Amino acid sequence: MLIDARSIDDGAEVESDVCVVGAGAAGITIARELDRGGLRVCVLESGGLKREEATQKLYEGESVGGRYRVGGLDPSRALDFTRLRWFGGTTNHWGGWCRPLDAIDFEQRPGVPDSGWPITRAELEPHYVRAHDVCRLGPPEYNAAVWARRARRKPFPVGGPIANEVYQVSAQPRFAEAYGDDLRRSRGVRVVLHANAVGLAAARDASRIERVRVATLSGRRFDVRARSVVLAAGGVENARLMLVSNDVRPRGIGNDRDLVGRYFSDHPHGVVALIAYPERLDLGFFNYRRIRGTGLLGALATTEEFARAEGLLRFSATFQAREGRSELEPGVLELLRLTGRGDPRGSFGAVYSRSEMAPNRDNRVTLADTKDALGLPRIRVAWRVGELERRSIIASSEALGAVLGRAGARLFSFPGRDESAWEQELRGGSHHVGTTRMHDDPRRGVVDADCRVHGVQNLFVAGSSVFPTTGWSNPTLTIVALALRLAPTVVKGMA
Amino acid sequence: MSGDRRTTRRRFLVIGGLSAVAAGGAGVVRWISSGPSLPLTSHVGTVLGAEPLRAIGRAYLDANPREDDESTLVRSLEARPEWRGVSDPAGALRALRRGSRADFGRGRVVRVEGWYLAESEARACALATFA
Repeated sequence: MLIDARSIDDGAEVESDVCVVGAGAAGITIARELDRGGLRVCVLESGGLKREEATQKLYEGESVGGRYRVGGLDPSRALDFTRLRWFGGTTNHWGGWCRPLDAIDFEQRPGVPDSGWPITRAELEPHYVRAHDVCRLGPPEYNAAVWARRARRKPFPVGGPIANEVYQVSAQPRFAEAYGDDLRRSRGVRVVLHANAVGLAAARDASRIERVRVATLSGRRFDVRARSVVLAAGGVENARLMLVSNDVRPRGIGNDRDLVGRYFSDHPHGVVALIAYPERLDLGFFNYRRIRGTGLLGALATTEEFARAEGLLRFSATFQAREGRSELEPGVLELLRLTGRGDPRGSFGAVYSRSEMAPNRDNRVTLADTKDALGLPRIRVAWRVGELERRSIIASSEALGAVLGRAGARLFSFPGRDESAWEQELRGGSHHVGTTRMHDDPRRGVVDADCRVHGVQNLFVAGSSVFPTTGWSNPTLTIVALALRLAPTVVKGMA
Repeated sequence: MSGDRRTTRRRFLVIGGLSAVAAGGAGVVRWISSGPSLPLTSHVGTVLGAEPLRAIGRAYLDANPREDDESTLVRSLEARPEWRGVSDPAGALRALRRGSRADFGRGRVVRVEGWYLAESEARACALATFA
């Protein structure tokens, strides 16, 4: 059922088996799973059923040095633009792009400090399969050649370190639309709207969470008492809630080793090259298409072998048609015409990259000095791409350039144009990762392989904040797979 | 330099040594006002004479001043099998196409103001500025 926190008495105590904080992709997924497991679930959702400005403003934060930016927005808007705070969460503007992480993304790689998950891709595989249904995708097939055959098209002519890849695109990316009715009808799940989790009240020894403190913007305050708590509020907000819960532990709950909020990552996005290409070069594979009922987008990416051999981060690129902008462009098109075996025309496009970001403990979210309307410190985010990202993007762009060049394109690449400015051209992609990273060793991770906070027996974290590394895939499919994997652990903990 | 190349290039053909020039020796420098002096330059100029292509050639020479010499460019092109024996504009176009494919296939690319071009393309455009 759905209820409104503003109808709950001030000072009340709501009881439940499990309290889930957040009703986005992770929160909705795990609530449905726990419901199936026969548990009573209280889901706290800060917003209502649609956007409300006062609630959305609770997400405003600061970007250190203005470096964390998204799209063409002012850096001060990056944190409230990238996250949405109402029922369905950030899926309310999610594009629906899905792809699992690769096996290499789970490995400890010599060239990538602090890489490695405590679980393997194989362990997550059955959950990925189920996540496909949850995310309303086609069959769990990501072999680009298979999809090209099904579409009766030739794959893009790749080779060496560059491979064809595909994303699947969700047929219903809005989780509130997809599962709102299920939750309304459920007897076991109560979704409490306009309910802001403002703190985790821990036992004196911080070994358990006893209550979740809740406030509404209308001024009511109440507690949810639950046997287990699952934080599913997003890659930044999970950390924020742990950091502000500092009445028992001064650094925040689960943060005795100063790891909560560190290792913040987001895929660096940017145009790595403008290209001129002859009309005969078929780039249609990169456009959205439906093949046998499955939405697909093509991409080019560096191979796992290349990343391993060169000690580089992963790199992917998609293509967008656009106008050119260089003074030499008329000549470049003329060269294409002359050398393109009679092809009379050429076009311009942009190669748009989404790259892996290396774990870096200095990239982090911390509590700012300013406070929101509920009196909670806002978030300050420090995000900077480093030398490994720079080297990886440039080397991968060069490899991609060779493939595109052999196919007939001419490239105009920004790393080559002005290396001093390249970092300025990169943006975040609203993929907040790493702030409660997973590791078996409590000295190196906030949660264990079960996504349980080290040292806090009934506190779990769902969502991309537990990812130790980003890979190059968009995170939502993995968020859902991990939520599906977490549910039985929570159910078992109730026994 | 690039401003000079906005129009047909004028070239100094050095016959004598620079010391002779400094000494003011008559007839040691021959001024050539226009017109190609080497056959390949003429053929390439016919194929790549359009102003946008010459703009690429000027940008290439600005970035590679050691090659800013007609004979050097001709030698560089004719060192490649695709460019040997070019005797007319049609042959130059064939050489451009073959050379371009071969260069991209072997990774012999150059960046000209960010654009990745086959070496032969860039040098041919540069040679066209001498036509």
